[in-house]
Amino acid sequence: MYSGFLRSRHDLCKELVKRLSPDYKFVSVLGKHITGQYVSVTTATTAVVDTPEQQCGFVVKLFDGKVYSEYSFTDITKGTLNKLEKAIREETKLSEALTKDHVKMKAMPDEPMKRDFARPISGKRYSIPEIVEKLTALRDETKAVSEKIVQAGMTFEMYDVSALFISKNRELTQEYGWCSVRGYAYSRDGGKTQFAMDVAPGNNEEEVFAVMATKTRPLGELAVELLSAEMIKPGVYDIITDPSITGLIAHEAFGHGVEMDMFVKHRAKARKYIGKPVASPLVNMHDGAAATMSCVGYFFDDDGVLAHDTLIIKDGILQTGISDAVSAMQLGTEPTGNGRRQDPSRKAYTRMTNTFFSAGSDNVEDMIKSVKHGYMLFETDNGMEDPKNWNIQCVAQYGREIKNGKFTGKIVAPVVMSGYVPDLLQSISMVSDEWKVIGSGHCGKGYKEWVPVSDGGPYLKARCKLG
Amino acid sequence: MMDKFIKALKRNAQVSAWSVTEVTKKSRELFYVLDKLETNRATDTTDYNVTIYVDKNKKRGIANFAVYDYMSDKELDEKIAEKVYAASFAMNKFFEIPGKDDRKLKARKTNLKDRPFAEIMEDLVKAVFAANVHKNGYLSATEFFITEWNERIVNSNGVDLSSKKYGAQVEIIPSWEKNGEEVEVYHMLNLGSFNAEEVTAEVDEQLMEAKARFDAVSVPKNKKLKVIIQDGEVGELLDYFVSELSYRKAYMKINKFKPGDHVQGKKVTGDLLNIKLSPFYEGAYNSRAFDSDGVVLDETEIIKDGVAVNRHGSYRFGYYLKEKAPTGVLPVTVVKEGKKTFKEMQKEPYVRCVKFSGLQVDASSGYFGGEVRLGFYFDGKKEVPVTGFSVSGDMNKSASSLVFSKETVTKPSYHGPKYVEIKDMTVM
Repeated sequence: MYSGFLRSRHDLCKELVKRLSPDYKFVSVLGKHITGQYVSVTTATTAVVDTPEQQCGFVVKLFDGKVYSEYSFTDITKGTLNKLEKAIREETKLSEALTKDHVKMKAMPDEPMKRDFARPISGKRYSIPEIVEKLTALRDETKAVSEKIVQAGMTFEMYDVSALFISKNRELTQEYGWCSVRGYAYSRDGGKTQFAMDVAPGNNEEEVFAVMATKTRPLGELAVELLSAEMIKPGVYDIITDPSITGLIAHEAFGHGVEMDMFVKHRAKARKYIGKPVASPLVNMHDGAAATMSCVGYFFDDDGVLAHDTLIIKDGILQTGISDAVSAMQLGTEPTGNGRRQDPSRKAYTRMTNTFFSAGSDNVEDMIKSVKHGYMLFETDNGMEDPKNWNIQCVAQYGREIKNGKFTGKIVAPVVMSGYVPDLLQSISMVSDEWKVIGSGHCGKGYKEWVPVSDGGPYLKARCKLG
Repeated sequence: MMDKFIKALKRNAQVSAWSVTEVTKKSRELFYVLDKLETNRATDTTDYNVTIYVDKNKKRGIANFAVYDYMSDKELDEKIAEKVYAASFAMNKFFEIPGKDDRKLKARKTNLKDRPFAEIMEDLVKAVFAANVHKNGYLSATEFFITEWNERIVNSNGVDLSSKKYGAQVEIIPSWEKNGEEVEVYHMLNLGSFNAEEVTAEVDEQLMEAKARFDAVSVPKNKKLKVIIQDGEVGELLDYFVSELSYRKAYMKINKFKPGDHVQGKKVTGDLLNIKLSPFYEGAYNSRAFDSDGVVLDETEIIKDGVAVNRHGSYRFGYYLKEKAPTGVLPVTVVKEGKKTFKEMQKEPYVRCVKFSGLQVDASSGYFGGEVRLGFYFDGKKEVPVTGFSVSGDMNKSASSLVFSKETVTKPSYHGPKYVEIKDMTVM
């Protein structure tokens, strides 16, 4: 349901825009209210807290003909409107010394639009006791897999996002929801401890619980199997990536490099490669909030730009990047609906949304059979981008050894992939017809600014340095 | 506003205990593209967070939620009743919450409160760009933040603690360009106080690291070499030992070490580890007087001469483990320096890792390593900058032979040896 709080502040935001508009060339207000639950049941503890995504606040954006200014605040009421207006005007003032050298910009386009978007969580909504009962059952199923599992835990998270964007000519509201069940297990044998996890995301509570119910046994078995994991012998190997690792590559290896605020700052090598080959001809890559259904299924971004589905790489050739409104203006391009903030108290940057490689035509079994000696890599742990120099580091939770087209039974963990992005993308030689986007992750910009993202794609066969 | 929330909590008889935190944040922020201002920001926000505890049958249920200024008494009563209901289904083994502590709180020394932020910002911008004087070097993006935080935590057990903190951060992307080729490095300046000369020097040092990355060559691959890890990454590496001594891990039975364990093994050929956790260290940006539960923090020794002597962590899990005085969550790791100087470390071939893309440390397997974006390789004759390589090691094998430098460094959550040398790591 759309936030009653934002609804009650809607006309006050319009009034604020009206009051500021005569003195600025562009004025907008973004309001965001995210509510939801996070329920955790482990072997040792239970907790019910607000969703970590929880936030409530506003940001006003102004353009005085020289510099864009923003003021973030917690609330707007009839009684505080005058004070707020004064604070906005005073706190965004800059000295002559600071405005002497500024980026040349113009007022944002403000084409008239009035829309209300809605895609709430579908199906039955569970009560807290029902959620705790279901999580407890899933936890117990996972724990029961082996006596070696010393801790098992299940968490359920759901959130409803409401947002409003108001400028002189635009009035947009949206609401959408998302939920997920995450499971994890710690196994222990002697002094060795291992960890495995899995997630079932979606926008239907019944469905995510049903999907997790199919994952409890494999999750427990994996945690136990990882106790026998070895460290990989560092080297260059043929790899097959599962959709999670494929998504990690799409996101870290290339996605960050086509965020066009990095083009503006001369921080992205991709800027010089538009229209040029950057990957194997088998590779097609997308990003966009409208590209698939996930935790980032918004209808308009934090700049008030409608969601897109952007084709970034077509048949191995780089087509375009993705952008927020201010970066697009500096580059003279159209914004792609990728302007996102961690919350209204933070700046908007160009951020990925749903980032994935398209499916191909290869059968996964054939891909495994084609590997003489290598590893199939599973489950994202973390990754780090380097858009200017195109180095990557992607960490998979574990890998399974393949020799002469067959799994040997050897498992290695963790596995760190590193190398030069074009070498990795050019080495992609097979792309599966199976395809999946994992709709529930988080991404930072550099080392901060965390926002929800999804990524994924098909299984890929490539060659990479593992350590 | 805090009083309004506390009154509402007291109105509900089913709330057995509670805590409320208030965080007010005021900031000025500037965002530069190259050396030109792109965006100017100011913030003034206040967040409130409530935790309620509901006791039933000697167990304790917990619910945690945000509350807002805009809520009426009726809305607050409804919200609390909803969360009492939720908490009654989140029952846990009983634990007490921290009680009153009247000790005077230490505050971080700062000059950021002496002048208006707008004035300091002008000087900070000048100090950063004063280093931007190189023909081929430049700052491709710079973000400035000056912030004042006011934090207060009140609970039903008598805790009422407040702190005011000031900080400035500058995120810089030093870059180097020549003949169409460009490289960059990343750096965050964390400033508890502002000193223009020190800021300019730190930015200049980072520009020199960008130059080094530009000049870098490949390192000899697939070799076992002595690796030197430096600065904040030394603290991250040693978190392998620190994290495994937490109350939480012990309570969950997933801890690797316990007090009495020789964490480096019994035959130590390198330096013996001595680690204390501390609330404050001069210059450590993340220093704080109390934790988010309202525990007033004291220095705690956790490893002495290679032997674990204490656990540490949150009040709740400390209570579960029957600790007399749970330490609370301590923000700064303080490690005793070694005897070997950096110069002595440089007498035999090594790879020194200056910029990792992200050092990975996996306590389960013992793996540590990652991709290195800037390093220096010494072949026995001269040191040259190197890039595009990874290092990997196994802490289970390396723990006994770690050698720490005499030189120390202070980072936001770490004070201790600036360098650690590790033998026989794989470089590829």
